[in-house]
Formats: sequence, structure tokens, C-alpha cells
Amino acid sequence: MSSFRLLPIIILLLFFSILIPLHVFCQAPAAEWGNVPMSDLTMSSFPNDTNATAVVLFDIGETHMNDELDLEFTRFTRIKILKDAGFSWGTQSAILYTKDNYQQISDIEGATYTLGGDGKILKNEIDDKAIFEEKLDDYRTKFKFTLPKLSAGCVIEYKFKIRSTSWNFIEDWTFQHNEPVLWSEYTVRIPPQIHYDGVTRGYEKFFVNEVTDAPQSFHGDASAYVHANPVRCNQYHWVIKDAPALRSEPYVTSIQDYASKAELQLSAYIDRQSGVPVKVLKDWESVVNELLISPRFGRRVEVSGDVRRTADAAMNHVVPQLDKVKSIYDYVRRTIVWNGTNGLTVYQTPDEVLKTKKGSIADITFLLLSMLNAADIPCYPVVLSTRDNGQIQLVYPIVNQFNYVIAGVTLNGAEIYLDATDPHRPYDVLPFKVIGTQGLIVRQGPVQWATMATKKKYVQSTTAAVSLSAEGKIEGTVDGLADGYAAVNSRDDLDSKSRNEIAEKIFSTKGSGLTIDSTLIEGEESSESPLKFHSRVVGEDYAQSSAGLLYVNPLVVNRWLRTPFATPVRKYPVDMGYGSVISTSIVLTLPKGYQLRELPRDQMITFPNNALSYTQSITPEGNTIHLTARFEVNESEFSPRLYSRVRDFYSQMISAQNIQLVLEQASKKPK
Amino acid sequence: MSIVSRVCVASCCLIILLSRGRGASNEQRYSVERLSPKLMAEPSSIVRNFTEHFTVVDHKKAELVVTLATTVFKSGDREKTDLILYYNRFITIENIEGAIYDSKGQKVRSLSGEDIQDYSAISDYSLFEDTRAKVVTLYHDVYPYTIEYVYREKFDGYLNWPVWTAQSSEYPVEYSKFEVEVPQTDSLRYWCNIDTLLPAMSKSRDRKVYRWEAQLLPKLSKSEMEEDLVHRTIVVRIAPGVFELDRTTGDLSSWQSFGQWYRQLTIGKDVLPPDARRAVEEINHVTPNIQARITKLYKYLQSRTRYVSIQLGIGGWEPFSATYVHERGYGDCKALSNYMVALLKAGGVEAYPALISHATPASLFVENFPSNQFNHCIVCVPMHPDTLWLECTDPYRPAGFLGGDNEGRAAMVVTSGGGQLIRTPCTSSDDNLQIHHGNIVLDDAGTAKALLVSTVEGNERDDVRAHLLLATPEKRQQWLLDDLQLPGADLITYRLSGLEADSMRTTIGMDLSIDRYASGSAERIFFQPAMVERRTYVPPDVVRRSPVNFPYRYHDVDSLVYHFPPSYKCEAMPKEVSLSSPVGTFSSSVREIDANTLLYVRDLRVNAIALAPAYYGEYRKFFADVVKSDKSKVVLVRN
Repeated sequence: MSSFRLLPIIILLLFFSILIPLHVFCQAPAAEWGNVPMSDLTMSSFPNDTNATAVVLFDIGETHMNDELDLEFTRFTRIKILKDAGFSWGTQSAILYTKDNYQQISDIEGATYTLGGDGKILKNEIDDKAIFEEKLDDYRTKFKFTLPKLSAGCVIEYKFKIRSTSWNFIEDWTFQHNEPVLWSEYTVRIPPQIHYDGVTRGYEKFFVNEVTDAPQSFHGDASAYVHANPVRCNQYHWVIKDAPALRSEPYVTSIQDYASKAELQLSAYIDRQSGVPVKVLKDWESVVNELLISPRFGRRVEVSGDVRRTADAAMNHVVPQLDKVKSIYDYVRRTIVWNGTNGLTVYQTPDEVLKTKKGSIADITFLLLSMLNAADIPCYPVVLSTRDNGQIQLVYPIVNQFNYVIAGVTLNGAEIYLDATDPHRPYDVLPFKVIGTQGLIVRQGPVQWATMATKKKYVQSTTAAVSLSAEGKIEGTVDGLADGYAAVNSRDDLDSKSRNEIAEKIFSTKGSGLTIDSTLIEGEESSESPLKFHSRVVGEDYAQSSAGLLYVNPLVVNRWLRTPFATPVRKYPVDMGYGSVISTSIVLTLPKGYQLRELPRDQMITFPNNALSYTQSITPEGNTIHLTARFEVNESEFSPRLYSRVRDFYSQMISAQNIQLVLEQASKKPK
Repeated sequence: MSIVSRVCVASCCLIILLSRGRGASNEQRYSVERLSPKLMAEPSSIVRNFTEHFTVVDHKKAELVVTLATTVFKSGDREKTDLILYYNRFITIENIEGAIYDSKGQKVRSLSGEDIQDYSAISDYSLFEDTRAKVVTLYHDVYPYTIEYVYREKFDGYLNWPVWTAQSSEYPVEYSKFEVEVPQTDSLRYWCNIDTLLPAMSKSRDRKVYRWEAQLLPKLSKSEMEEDLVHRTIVVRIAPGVFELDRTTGDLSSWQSFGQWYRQLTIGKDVLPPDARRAVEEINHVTPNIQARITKLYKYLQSRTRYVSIQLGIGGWEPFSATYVHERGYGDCKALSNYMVALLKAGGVEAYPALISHATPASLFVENFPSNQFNHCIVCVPMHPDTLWLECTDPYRPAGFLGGDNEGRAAMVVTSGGGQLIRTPCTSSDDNLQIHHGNIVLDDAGTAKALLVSTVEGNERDDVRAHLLLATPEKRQQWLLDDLQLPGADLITYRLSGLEADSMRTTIGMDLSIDRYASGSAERIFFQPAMVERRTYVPPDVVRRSPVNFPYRYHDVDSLVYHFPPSYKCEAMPKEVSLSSPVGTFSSSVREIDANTLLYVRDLRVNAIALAPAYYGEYRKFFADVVKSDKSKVVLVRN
């Protein structure tokens, strides 16, 4: 479970747990519509965070059940805009599930407050014309509104109400945003007949974090359902004060993994018609079992005649089990186009997928499973949450956390995980988006999780034979081998880039002064074998000549010209996904009559635990210079504490690679 | 020079007007065996048939029927046959048909409803637009195969008619046709990039038909695709004369009448609410000088509004009124320009909205073919001696500053007399000046302590301003470091001045420590004196047919003083370089000005805007030489 090591602290709140009354000195802001304190308008900076362009003064959400027993969510937010760059807060949007009126938005209000020249507060409200609807697809609609008269220093506030007829659409709450939030509060009040489980996560301390009971009166049919009037409702109450801004950095898996949040899930309820209790949220075992019997999921593994015929044709009588798996996987990845849709929803039967030759991740995985079943190979679906979708909360057994499904195969006691969405990826290379995630195995028996670990690295090794002329021109051949992720990345480029461009990318020659003249690529057909490059390179004026001396960088390929880590500090871990091994061997033939004046030092740049390493050595041999270099990344994740060392490692390596040999004519050697 | 004269005539020999026999069935038609070997020279998908048939029904209604068939030879090209069709209130997509044919031309299957998906297609920057898209996909797994789509677009109210490009991708084209059907009594307004290529005319019932055809167009290389297609293939533009759009009627046959139509959409929208009128009167009162008054009114608009894209009304053409913008403090380019014109009018200054072709290469605009080639709106203020231009969507630029994306572009100024087409002025290289001064101290370990002062003006300043003005301190540091691209550099302090809206010049002072700027061996250290401006890109060695477009002229001057430790002496220095070419001029030199002190001077001036393809070789040589000079190193050796 290595990928859980960074998981934020999780607190699971259980219903009917012992209620500890909290005596909160209520420092809550006076959240009254239209009543903006003068101090908010005169505020001109935010000393706690000089990078802030806006400050969320308060963000207050409340969910309860109305007399129709619909969920009613209201949000009321007030924001101080400090700088023009904070104007983006003036446009807000909400995506609703609008099919069959499952969700409706209403009572949208918004106002901008500015300080007039006379010291009076000016108020400008939004009008209906500034509210827009955009139908995203058959299910969802995006509602957008924009506030008038924004200026640096203004205060905006807005509120709206969302009604959901389905109890599943309860709103979660995010306490942190990319600007500081002074007060973020969420209250959820639900009659005892309906149970939600609440989970909080993140690093920020809760100012209020309690479950109490609160009375609510219901009218009409609802009052019969809740029995008592008023009924003692269960009430969640969360407040976080002074939450710092959450701003993304390069090489971060998902910044949302670091945000403080409260999430709710319907766990049980008393059925309105029958009065029978219904359990929704149980444990991971029931999640697995429900998936197994779901007609839109587990039942899809059935085998049809078409599937069997296709599987047989794909396997073409191969006998070893592994070859059968590979043949079926290869057939699916090469034949079916992934349409980019994630999720566990199956849109087509395997037969339909075979016909349309395209589908969602679930369509593709269930075709794969169905074909594996036809070949009597033990297999099962594995559901997971991709890297950008955030980590799975183990304490929270709900299916909505997953957004992706791949296939698992048991072969000779070992598990193989297959994702057939990329025509160029061999069966044993997982896509970047799933590396390190936790997969739930959907199979009868005890609950099992599996880490989507990858042993594969970005592997590239290059041999170059180049010769230098006395005029400084360099030319020769470069032969490279790309394996693991290097091969997958290059293969993905085959359809859109020229051979020379792919070679330029893999050999990092862009901007080095070397041009790739021609490239032959071997191994395009079988994506399991490494991809081999044979290029001819030339660089006019590659070496600098001056007063009978030639200065040349012998590292003609695999040279870093830019650092990926320019910023000096970092808050979140650097996550590269997979390791790398790049090895280089170069033979440089010197111009006739030239020799090396000074032998450069060998370089060895190290890092604790050998997580990163770079070695480089140069040996003269007759009229040639031999250079070997090796760059390794053996760990894929680096904590912010190690960042300055990572940054320094790259800077040292780039400097070592920026080597210059001094060549002189043999006869002119000074004593 | 007009576009037409720049079109290479060489491509004409590939175009044969033909009278293709009708009635050939698709079975025969899409058989791969029938393909000309000419088209198979390079492995690639092949466009078998690209036919557009446009029927003008009346001033409001029209219909476009498109047939597009592509043969796919390998799996990597499957998704390139995906069809994306945009539609809105005025264009509806009807009858999408499609089928897969095998290599013999036998139908494998037909398109079904599940192969079509419907999406919202609002641009990221827009709050509201009435645009959606249908995405159609068809795939097969036995190669080669052919995908054929036939679809119909209905126009109900129009201004824009389709532009036909015989070859719109790099793929070779077997057959391509454009037919336009108009009522017998009408004559079609068209423009073709090849003057000599006249349409074939025919009659059908009470209709006149114009036809352009092409066949056997070979594959375009990647470098050819990077050029504007108008120089590589046949492009035909057509445009209506009289047209109806929503509740309006206009006439596109001249710039003057096009402008009249737009003007009619703005009539009555220049009324300012009383508080705006009072504010303008106050400005008038204290600012008798007209130039100063314009600046003040422009700043008034800048300080009160922001750009929000809302494309509504008459297909997005009708601007929101001045009152709307004044009360809400936002609008799109047309609304903000209209508000500016209203403010200026109240200020006693005559000004006009100007529709402009923003950010598209200036050479692509067809001046002698009145039609909608605009995508933006600015304000034109006729002044003596020079007309003043106001870009109203940017609250941070100096009054009258056009910006690289608006300069040298065709603009239709909309006056009471209608539209008038003019070109906006271009800046000179010295308007866009960038000066870097530096004092750099190198130590024994190769670490450089650098004090850099950069002054940027004009469009160069605008670029810096766009990155830095609204950026947080953290982002500013990051951008400054990223822009320098010096591994091992730490920004110790920096100072910025002149980022505010009315400044024409921005100065950036940086105090840097750069680890290992000079690298070396036991005896020697090496460093690149081109620390700030450095070019690494050499244009590819290709045959060019279209002009090389530069965003604007510019002038870079770098003057850097290097101090190195007395334990070293200079062994080698980059050669002095001095270049002159149709692109511009370049010079660089390193001189020892004192013991252990070097002065590096670099001067690059780009004078070209659209460099004729004939000069491509010289252009390539020029920048190759600049790159070579920039990467040259100084070699210091131990005493």
C-alpha cells in the first residue's frame, strides 16, 4: 500500500457515535446578505499571503431536507478581490445533473460592493441576463453567472440554491481553494430515517468538527415519514478557519489530494413506501458484490459466439497461457479505439464493441475480459481512481470514488494488469495515469486491493560514432534503443510526427547544434520489443575554433539543455511516476593531426539512496575520444524536503554535461 | 502586393478541370485498386472525394451538402477521419450519413446514431456562445478501408459562406469539387487565389451553377503544412451580396455597404446614462486638450470595465449598448468599443468602431473581396497627423497602443457613410526595443554573480507586461527565472518599474547568482557570453512558398561586462560577427576592455514583417549564423 503513505489524515465520523458537545466561541463572521462591513472594503492587502489576488471572506454551505424530502443546498459566499488578477472569482459556475429534473438551481443572487468617492458603499446586483445555461450533454447542464462592476478592492457576494430529488446528489464541500479562505463552514441536517456517512480529509485543522442533533419541523407527507414533529435531525457541522491557499506546482499528481474536504455518502435509509430499511453503504465487500451482480458491470463478462470466434481467431492456436493473454490483449488494443471516456459505466455489449470498434474504458475492458473468459483464462475487473482523479479513501466504501476499470489476469500465481486503451503499449506496461494507484479487485471472495506498481522505466541507450573536421563540422551516426516508457512515448508519436522529429526528441538534440538528417526506425510493428533508431546526424560549426584550437562538447546526444526545476522552493512532492535509465556511449573521431590538450575529470553526481545518479567519463584512444555517461532515476517521488537537492542534482548534471574538450594540433603542443 | 500574385503557379499544373462521369457506384468508386499510383507515392491516408455543394435559396436561406471520403491505410490514422461539425442557431446539421467501405469498395456497415455525439462547443474564454458540435466517428480494423460521410448544413440567416480549400489537410486528394448554385438572376461573388482559374459554368433548371474542381493533388509535407495553405492549394471564397441575418438586412458587396449594415446594429446604442455623462462632462471641463481628453476617457473605460465574452444577438454581431456596459462594467470587444465611441462622442471627439482581422497573418486578408474576414473590434479616432487606435478589451495598455496582434492588419472603419477598409500602422524595430545591460562577476568555481538591467519598449514591453503585471510575487520570480533559462540560477532580488498602464517602457532589474555558469576542467573554464538573448532555433532547410511572418519588427541590444578572476587569462574568444540580410542586421563582439574584464555586445535588428519566400534561404542563413554566434564560448585558462 505504498501509495497511501501521503494520504492526508482521515477521520471517519460514524453516526450514533458518542457526541461530544463543543463549546465553540462563535467567531463566525456576520454573514448577512448585503451587510458588508466597511473594513472589508477598505482592506487593501492580505499580509498573511502576499501572493493572494483575492481572499474568500466566508464560504458557507448548508444542506437539509425540505418538505418534499428533497435535498436543499444553499451556498453563500463573500469574496474580497484584492487585485485585477482575482477577477476570475467574479464568474462562478455550477454543474448540475439536470436530466429528468434531478437537480435544479434557483435563487441565484449576486452583488458587487465598491467604495464610492464619497466614502459610501455602492452596490451593483447581477440581473437575470447575466446568468447563462450551457447544456453539456444529455445529463448535465452548466450554470454560469458573472458579477458586474468588478474593480480591484471590491467585495463580491453571491448565493444560490440547488434542489436535488435524488438523495445520492448530496453536495460535498471543499474548504480550500487557490486563494486563502478565512471562514469555510458546512452544515448538513438530515432526519434520522436517512443516514449519510461523512468523511473529512486534508491537512488543515478543523475549528468545528461535530455531529449534534438539531430539531426540524416537516409538513405534508414528510411529517408522516419522519414520525415526530419537530424531529431531531442529525447535524454535521464543520468549520475551517484561515485556510491557506492551495496552489499547484509542476509534477504534482493532483493538487486536490492536498485539499481539506468533507465528503458525504448516503449509507442507509428507510424506504418511503414500504417502510423497510435499505442499506446503501456497507463495506468494500458489498461494493464488490454489488458490482458483480450489476447488469451494467459484472454481468458483462458473459461470452457470446462472436466474442468466442474473435478470441479464437486472435489466439490463432497458440498454446502457452501467456501467449493467449498477449494475443487477446494485442487484438483489443490494436482494434478498438478508446473514445476518451472514463468511468465504470458500460455503454455497449462486447458484441457491439466488436462492431463499432470503439468504446469507453469500461467497454474496452469488458470486451477484453469477455475474450479472456472465452479462452478460459482466469481474469477479473479491477476498479481504480486515476492519478488526476485523486486517491481512494479506504474508509469510505463507495463506488463513486472509482473512475476507471482495467482487467486483471492470474497467471502462474502472478497477477498481470491490462489496460488496452493505447495501441502502442505492450501488455506489461501500465499507462502513466494508473501508476501507483490502488485497484480494488472485483472478484468473489475476500476483499483484495492491489497497487498498480510498475517495474518498467524510461529506458534509453544510445551509441554514437561521430567525427569532427578541423573546420568544426561534426557528422556521423547515432543508434538508439528505446524500451519501457521511452518506447511507448515514441510509439505514440509515430502517427503524428516525422521519424526525424521522434529521433530528435528521444536523443534530446533540439537546440544542441546537431541536425538529424535521416532516421530509420526498427521494431515499429511489434510493440513488445524495444524500438531501435538509426539516425545520421550533422552539425555545421558544431565545434568552436579559435587560434588553432578547437573547443567541442563531445556529448552530442542525451544532453539536458534546460532544467525542469527552475523554481527554488516547492510545497508538494515531485512525482515522476516512473524511473529512468539513460546510457550513452560516444566515439568521437578527432580531425587529422589533432589531439586532446587536457583530459576532463570524470563526473559522478550522487543522491541519497542512489535515488538519482549521473556518471560521465572520457577516455582518449588514438585519434578518438570515448565518452560514456549514465543517468538513472531510481525513485519516482521526492518529498518537498528533498527538493533543493533534486534541483541541485539537475543543475550539477547539466553543468557536467556542458563539457568542453580542448583540441590542439599535435605539432603545436606547447611544452 | 495582393495575395493572388503570391500564389505559386506551379500547383496549377496539377489541376485539371475534368468532366467526371456521373453514376459511378461507390463500390467502384472507393475500390483501392482504382487509386492512381501518383497518390500512393508516400504512405498516407488519401482523400478520395471532397465535394461541397452550396445552394443559395434566397437572401436568408442556403444549404451546403458535403461529401468527404477518406481511405485509411493504417491504424494510427483511424481517428483522423473523425468529423467535427459545429452548429448554432443559424446553421443546423441535417442528415449525417456515413459508411465504411472495404478495399474493394464493398460497404461494411453504415453509420448509426451511436456513432454521433453532441457536445457544447463554447470556447474556454467565453461566458456565453451559441455553439455546439456534433462529433462523428467510424472505425474499421481491416486495412485499407474507406470512410465516406455525407452531411447537409442548413443556413437560416447568414453572413458567412463557406470557404473552399481543395486540399485542407496534408493528405493527397484524389478528387475535390466546389459547386455553388445561385438563382438564375443572381451572379455569384467569388474570389480564387489563382486568378487564372475560372469556374466552369452550367445551368440547371432555373439555377446557375459555378464549379471548381481539382484532382490528383499530392501529399503535402510537414513543412508545407506549416505554411499558409493559400500558397499551396486552391482556395475559393464566396460571399453574399444582399443577406438577411436575424431581423436585419445587409449588403456585403462592398466594404461601404457591409459597414452600413454593422452601423445599423449600433444605432441608438450610444446613449450614456446620466452619471456617465456627468463624468465625461467633468473630464471635458478640466481637459480642454483633445489628445489628453482621449487618454482620460480611455482610462475611464479601462478602469471601469473588463472583457467578458458573451456572443448573443444577430449571431453575435449586435453590440450591447453603452448603458449595458456602463451599468455592468463588462462587455465583449464590440460592446466595449461601442461604449468607448459613446464616451468619446460625449467628449466631443468623433470616433468609429473598426472591425479588424486580429492575430491572423496580415498577408492572408483579401482586400479586394468584401466579406467577413474579421474577428475583433477596436476603435478608430481620426486625428492629425496620425489616426489613433484604441484597443478596449485590455485595461492595462497605454492609450493608442495597438499591439502586435492588431498592427498592420486590415480594419473596416464604420462611419456614418458606411465601411471603409484601411490598414492599421506597423511599428518600427526601434519602437520595440529591448536593451539588456549586465555586470557579471565570475569566480574560480565558475559561479556568476550577475546584475542585469533590462529595458523593454513597445510590443516587447507588452509581452513582459502581460506576464508580470497581474502575476503574484511568486509567479513573477518564476517567470523571470523561466525566461532566462539558466540552470542553477537563483534570483536574489529584482525590481520592476513601468508596468502600469500609461507607461511605454518597463525596466527589470535582477540580481542573480548562477551556479556553474562557467563550466570547465582543471585548467580551463568556458562560458557563453550571450547570457540573456540567445537563439537556438535554426529554421529548417526547405523550399518555401509563403512569406515568413514576423509578429512585429524589433531591436535587441545586449551589452554585458564580464569580470573574471586574476588567476585566469583569456585563451579564446568568439569571432566578431556582422551580418546584414533582408531579415535585418546582426552583430556581436567580445573585447577585452581591461585586465580580466570583457565587454560583450550583441545587436539584433529584425526589419522584416512578411519576408517574401524568395528570401527564405537568406533568412535561414541569417538565423543559423545568429545561433552559431550566440552559442560561442569564451575560454579562460589558468595562468
